[in-house]
Amino acid sequence: MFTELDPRTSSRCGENEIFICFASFEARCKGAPSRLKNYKAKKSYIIHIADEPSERREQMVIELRKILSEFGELCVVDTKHSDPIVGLLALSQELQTVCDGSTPISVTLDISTFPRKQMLLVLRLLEKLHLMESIRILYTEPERYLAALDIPLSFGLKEIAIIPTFKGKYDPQEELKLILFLGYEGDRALALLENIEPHKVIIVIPKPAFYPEWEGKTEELNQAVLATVGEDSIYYSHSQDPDSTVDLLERLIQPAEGNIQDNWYIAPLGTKLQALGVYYFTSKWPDVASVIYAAPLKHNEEKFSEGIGKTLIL
Amino acid sequence: MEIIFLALALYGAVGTTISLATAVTDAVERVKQSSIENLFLKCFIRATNRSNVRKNYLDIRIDKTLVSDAIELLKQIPKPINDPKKVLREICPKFGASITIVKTGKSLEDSRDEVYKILKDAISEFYTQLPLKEPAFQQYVTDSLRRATANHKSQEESLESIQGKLENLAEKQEMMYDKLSYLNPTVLVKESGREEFRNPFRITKAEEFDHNYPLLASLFRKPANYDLIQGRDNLLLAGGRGCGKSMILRSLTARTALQLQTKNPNLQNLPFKEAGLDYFGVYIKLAKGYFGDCTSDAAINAGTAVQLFQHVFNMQLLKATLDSLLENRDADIIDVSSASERSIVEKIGDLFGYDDIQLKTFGELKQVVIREEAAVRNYLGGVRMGINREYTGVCTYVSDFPRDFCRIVLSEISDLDGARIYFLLDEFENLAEFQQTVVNTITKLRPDSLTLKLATRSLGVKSRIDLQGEPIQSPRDYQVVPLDYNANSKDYRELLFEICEKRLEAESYKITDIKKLLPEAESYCELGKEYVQGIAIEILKTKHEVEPDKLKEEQIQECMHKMGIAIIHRKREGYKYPKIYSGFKEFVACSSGIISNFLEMCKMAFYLAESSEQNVRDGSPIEFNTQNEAVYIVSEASLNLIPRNIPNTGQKLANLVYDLADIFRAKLLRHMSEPEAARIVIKDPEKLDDYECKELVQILNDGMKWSVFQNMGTVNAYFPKHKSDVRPSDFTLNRILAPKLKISPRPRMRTEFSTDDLSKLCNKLTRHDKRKMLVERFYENHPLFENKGNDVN
Repeated sequence: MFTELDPRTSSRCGENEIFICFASFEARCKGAPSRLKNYKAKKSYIIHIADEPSERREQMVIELRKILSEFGELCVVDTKHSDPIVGLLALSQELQTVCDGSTPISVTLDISTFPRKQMLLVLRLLEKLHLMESIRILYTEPERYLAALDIPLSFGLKEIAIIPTFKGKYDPQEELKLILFLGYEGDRALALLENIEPHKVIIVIPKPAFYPEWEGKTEELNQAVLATVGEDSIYYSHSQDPDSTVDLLERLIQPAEGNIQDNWYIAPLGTKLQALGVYYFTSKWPDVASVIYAAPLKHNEEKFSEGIGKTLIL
Repeated sequence: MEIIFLALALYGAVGTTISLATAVTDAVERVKQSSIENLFLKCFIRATNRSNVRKNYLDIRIDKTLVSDAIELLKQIPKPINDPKKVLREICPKFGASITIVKTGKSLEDSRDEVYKILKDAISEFYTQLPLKEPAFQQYVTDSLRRATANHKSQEESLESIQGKLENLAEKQEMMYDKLSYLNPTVLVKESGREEFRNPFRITKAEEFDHNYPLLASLFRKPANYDLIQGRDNLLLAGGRGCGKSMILRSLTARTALQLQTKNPNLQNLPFKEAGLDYFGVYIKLAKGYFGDCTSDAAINAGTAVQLFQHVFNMQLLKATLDSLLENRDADIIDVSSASERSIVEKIGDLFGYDDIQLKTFGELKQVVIREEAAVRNYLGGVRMGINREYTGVCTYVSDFPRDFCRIVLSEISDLDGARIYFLLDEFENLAEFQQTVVNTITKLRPDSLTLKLATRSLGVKSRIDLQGEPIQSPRDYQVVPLDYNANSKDYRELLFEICEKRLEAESYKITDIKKLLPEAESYCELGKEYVQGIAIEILKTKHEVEPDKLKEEQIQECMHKMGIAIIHRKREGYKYPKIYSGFKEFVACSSGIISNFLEMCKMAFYLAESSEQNVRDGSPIEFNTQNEAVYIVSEASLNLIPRNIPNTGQKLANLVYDLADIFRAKLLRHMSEPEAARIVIKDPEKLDDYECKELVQILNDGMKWSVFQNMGTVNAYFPKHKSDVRPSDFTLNRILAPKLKISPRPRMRTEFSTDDLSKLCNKLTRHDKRKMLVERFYENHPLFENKGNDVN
């Protein structure tokens, strides 16, 4: 379970520390780094989307550079929104150079504004490099999301695809079941559902919501998806607790019993911390389910989120 | 009328006057041709059916007389209604008494909270159903109020202020329409397929049959060329979205094919050897799989990708075959002895080249397949992550592995002696070009133990060569079977009629003749035939400068045929539903040759009818208004799908569709010789190859792939363009979009565009001016049709 970051006791300095964050157009990408008082790292990485110009994002990069330069050596890793593998390979090379095996390395990963696909890929990379054992994950919420029925968080659909390295077993003869974590982007969830055309869909709604006043918003923004299923197909998992997501997925898919009967797809469109839970599940039970994602064409940068909320630490 | 007071007070105007309520009531009855009570009753029934009461108890009964009594009770409430919510609470027990749960026999008289929700929901829908924005309605209300001037004076309320109120009511209605989820067409389309509604058309996609082979077989209707499809040749089934490709492939799977073979629908699991089938169908839905992101940056070279995909594809074929054999053996359809199983497994094991593994069962062989897939997955995963890994699997090739394992299976299982394995590969368009080349290699080799039946959407074929670079020849390597139907053809109508018959039979409907359940309204019912005829005569009179009595009957009929739909749209411009769609024939026409479009409209019509207590199951025909509403809802949902579901170009494609519709509508409303010119003809198709048209081509191609545009009868549309080919230049908009776009569903005449016109419509900087220019091009004012000048936005 995440707890709120206490700036007085949050420092974890060291020669063997690595800091990774993502530069977004959202102000909250500065939240966690600015709250890490007296923090030092061997090297800090800002992952930066280079193929889509955004004034807001570039401004955040300048501000993040300023904050992170206090930590120690800084490196900006360019990636592409259209192809996150590019940045991943660059980060992989960097990390393999730093993690030469001579000393144990610990990682602080700020997942606040990572797109879910990028976040899952970075987590998988850290896992492959055996860096997940000593990881500290930070997450900062915005003060509020501006999503409403007439104000979408994103526009259009770029692609729907299984995230590389998150492909699970697939038997063409067996039924396809989709576990769809819902968030504030109803159209994206609906597009994913209609493109995948699963035999059965299981809906997961974040409950309790991050803030009490956000309760019910997911349902309001996903009426079309909810209209496709009966109440017996709706489940809930905690918006802030990845373990709650792991528990739910274990209950639904039952990997412990072996011999999984169906093809399972998981679509983590819910909260970032639910997506983290999805990662933990696939890491604990590899090859059991595929993680599928619908990437938007563009985010609504003007009306996405406001302010910097509390920072949580895992 | 009493209910109007409550609705207006809740959602519109506080302190509604008697004259306004009376005028609105009269106007509704006149315009909607339904009493206000009936309109509310329908909304109340629908709200009850949407409620949790229906979800929890499934069977409920609504006593219409008691609902009327409850409405009557409202007369006792003093007007104007100042606290409508309080009134709503007070009347709950009366309305609750009208709802009975069949299982318990109890009414909802005491369930105040539940009834309150239902009533609020019903009144919201009722309010949005008022035709407040329609010109005829407004005119009627105004006239009615003008007649009652004396009343207004006595109430110190001027006509102007009432008209202002009316506008506010319409504005409020617009806002509510956006907020009420149950009025959202996408929500309605989704909801209408829910199991509890037992809609005979709830299954519109092949996937929804799951593994219910008897149901699939009972609802499947063979297309005319089924013998060819069933034959031993490799085949490419090509057709737009929703034309039934997956259904055909699934009909060929072993269990469904056997079910279709048997004459007795109750006889399940007919043994394979008794059925006389000479093929054993194995269905596979294709996906790019681990190769989805094989870009140049992904650090996998083309040779490695081809080699690994061959192995993965072979493993998919083998795994699907093993699963199918197991399923059919478990269902006693084929007999596979332990000795046969062991022999098959050992021989296929040898194909892998393992020395040290002894395999005995299908299950063990499947584990080997899973391990091989994992080897490729881990290797590619490592490469993706920039971490070098050693490949731990073996390599198999499409040139021999599928042929050999199929031979082994066929020779070891005596029931399959003489048969062939048909691999039914759906969604071929999902494969990348290099993956299609791998699959093509099998079709080129035409092994004697297997046949490939491929299904693809328009423009889904990306590769027409094999791994040796040899071109695929049709019909030698595979035959192409186009599945696009002409919406006007008799065959298509018969196909849909029989599909409906089977579905209605399966759900025990008293009447299974869809034409009886979807009756056709009279021609030109919107205005009346006489009125349309009158206008046609006026048109001819002006055109030929002759007296009406000199006109021949054929001339009038021809003019009505040519201008009828235009006249309706011109006279009903600004109406929510300018043209009324009803009847089997109109459903067929609007389906645009796409079976799933037709099924969606039927599903919605049956859903709306059942939820407003039209007893269709017992033979009552579906009311015209309900049919019409269903068509508009499905049309709007289809339109909403474009920006949401089409990757990359969805929004731009949607914008282009709206712009084209504006242009076609301008012609429909203004043009005197070619009103229904919804055929898009590109004057200079050769320019589509220019670099400047790259984005336009992408948008047009995506439009074709997703059946937003249709290009009837062009087989080449399914293949990648060869340098010497001329691109298709004649398109129509999918007719399902016509109702919502308020254009004619009959694309009878051409409208020519240059590539420059279309490119400019696709560019946000030039779009507005170009659209305005194109719309204005079709202005042709006629004294009979006043130019309201609101076409150009």
